[in-house]
Amino acid sequence: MLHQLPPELLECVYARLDVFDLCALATLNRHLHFTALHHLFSRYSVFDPVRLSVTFPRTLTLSPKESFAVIQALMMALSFPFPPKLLECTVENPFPRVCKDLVKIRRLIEKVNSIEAVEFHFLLYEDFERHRRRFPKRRTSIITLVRDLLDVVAFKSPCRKVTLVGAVVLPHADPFRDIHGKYPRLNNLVGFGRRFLFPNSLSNDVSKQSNLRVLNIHGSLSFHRTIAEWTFKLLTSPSVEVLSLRDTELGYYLWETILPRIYLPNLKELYLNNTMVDRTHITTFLTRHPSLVRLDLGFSGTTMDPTWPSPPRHLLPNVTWLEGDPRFLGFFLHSHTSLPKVRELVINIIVPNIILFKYLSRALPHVEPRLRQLNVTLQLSLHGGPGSINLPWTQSDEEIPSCCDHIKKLVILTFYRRLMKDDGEVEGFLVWMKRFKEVECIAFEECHKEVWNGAVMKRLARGLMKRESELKVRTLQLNDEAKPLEEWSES
Amino acid sequence: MAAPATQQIKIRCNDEKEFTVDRDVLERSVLIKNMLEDVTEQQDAPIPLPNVSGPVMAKVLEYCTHHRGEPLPSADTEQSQDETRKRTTDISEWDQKFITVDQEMLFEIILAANYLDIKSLLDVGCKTVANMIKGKTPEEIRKLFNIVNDFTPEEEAQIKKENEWAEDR
Repeated sequence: MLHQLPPELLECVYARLDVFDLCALATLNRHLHFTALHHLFSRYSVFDPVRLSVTFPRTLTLSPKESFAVIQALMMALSFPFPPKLLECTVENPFPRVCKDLVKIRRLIEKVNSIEAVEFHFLLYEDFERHRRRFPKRRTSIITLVRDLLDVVAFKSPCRKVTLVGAVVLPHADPFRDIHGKYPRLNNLVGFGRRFLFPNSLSNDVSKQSNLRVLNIHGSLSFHRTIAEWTFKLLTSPSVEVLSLRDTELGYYLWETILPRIYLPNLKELYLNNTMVDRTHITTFLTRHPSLVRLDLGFSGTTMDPTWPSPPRHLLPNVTWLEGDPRFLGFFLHSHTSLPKVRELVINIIVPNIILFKYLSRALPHVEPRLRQLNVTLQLSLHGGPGSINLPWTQSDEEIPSCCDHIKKLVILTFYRRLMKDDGEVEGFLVWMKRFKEVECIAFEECHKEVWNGAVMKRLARGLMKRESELKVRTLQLNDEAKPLEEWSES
Repeated sequence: MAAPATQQIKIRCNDEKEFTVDRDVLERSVLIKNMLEDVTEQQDAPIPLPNVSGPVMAKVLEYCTHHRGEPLPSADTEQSQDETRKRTTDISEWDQKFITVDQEMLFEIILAANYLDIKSLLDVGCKTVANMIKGKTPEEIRKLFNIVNDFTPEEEAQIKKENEWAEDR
């Protein structure tokens, strides 16, 4: 009978049922409970019930009933066998019916005691308004919508960690208007998008209270002076320990306005990726923040030059992690006494800029003895793609500084589709690898899943195993998956 | 490998019941089709089908005879779930009548279709089961399929509680 069907046949039946029917089935007995919910999870790409995630992608065609029903089903699964600890909720360009559901998500969060952390992502795009007009009867405005969202975040009382990730890409809307004092537990704020506004009211609220620990502003500081002012208020929350300002459009002018005014007494981690960094401003800023433990200037632009005068002594006394291109590293590691606590060094190089290798050889030699004690990672960004870049291993023998001998890990960032396409190129790569004698792990990150499959890794692993005597590489990593060579070669 | 359509094949079910069937009818089963292709010489011994009983096989053969000559769905016509769900209700009139059987027979047919690898029949079976479930309350489904509740009282209370919360569906 029905419940005796093997799972693969049950799947055939489940595929033809909607969420409600699946929910109903799940209440009948254990076998149906697990199989029906498993099916439901895989249908909505919820693979790990412990790290639960509810997603409403823009393209998912949920019937109005369904979007809520998904949550209902998840809800049912929450009680057992694995109570979730983190709820991740993504609402991308939500339509009014989804707005209604948000209230229900809130009830869900309130109800499930195991949830300790909530990550709430919302993305509103400019065409949201246009879509909204298709539902003229619903009066949901963006303002009510965002309030519902914030209610979700703000009212879950036992939640210890709340993250709000938001990108509002609307030209003239302040969805946070008139909302005050609603964020007692908000401790992680992430904003991204080209024109994200942390509007006045929000920044007023957040900066007053002391729980904001993590602040990520991705690509969101714009040229507008007023917006920069609002953002500035956020940047003065005394509790902030992690500050990430990635991909910002701030020009030097605004750095000049903002950076000197920021003082975050508890700042431990600073990420300034893909940002233009000016020497004077960054030096004074860093002098004021001796508490910093981690400094990441990955792929940031700078007017720095290794010939600059060295920075003040005792700059960054507590930093253990430093990431940046060779110009930064050369600047900060100017002598054998600088950065006394540093343990991890990540060198970023954007490949077309081969000249950076030269910077590296000029910047690092005098601290070379120290490199031996550090974990040095070389990160090459090959995102330029074919035609625009020359892969380093296909070029003529470019001079690589001797300090490369200390590199323990090589990271290659690429979604370049045709990399390592044949044995010839793999061979070239392996020959090129010889200059990194001490590398123990090669990682390929940000790779496109469809292209970077096991076959490429297998080819590489086999090649590396043949050269066991010359190279120390024992581990290959593809995105998050790190395995020893033997495993890759057999996969 | 195409054999003359008139070739007769013998099969034997698990209750010793034997059938003699035209080859092209039997070949709607991918399992038997592959078997026949593997065997090069003419064989007189019936093909044993240990997982199917006589009455069920008779029903399956009725289906195969009616659909003989129709193109077999190719293995790679994987549809997206959405499409599959949309097509839920479209069961042809003949199939509908054919599949109107008692529950035991219905599940036997599904199991046999799965074993014999007759995709279209499996499809009809699963659609029928799905249609029986659709829109019913849990209690109705429980009665319909006689499903025994094996949750512990605590688990059941928990599920009830969660459902209560979601009553406004």
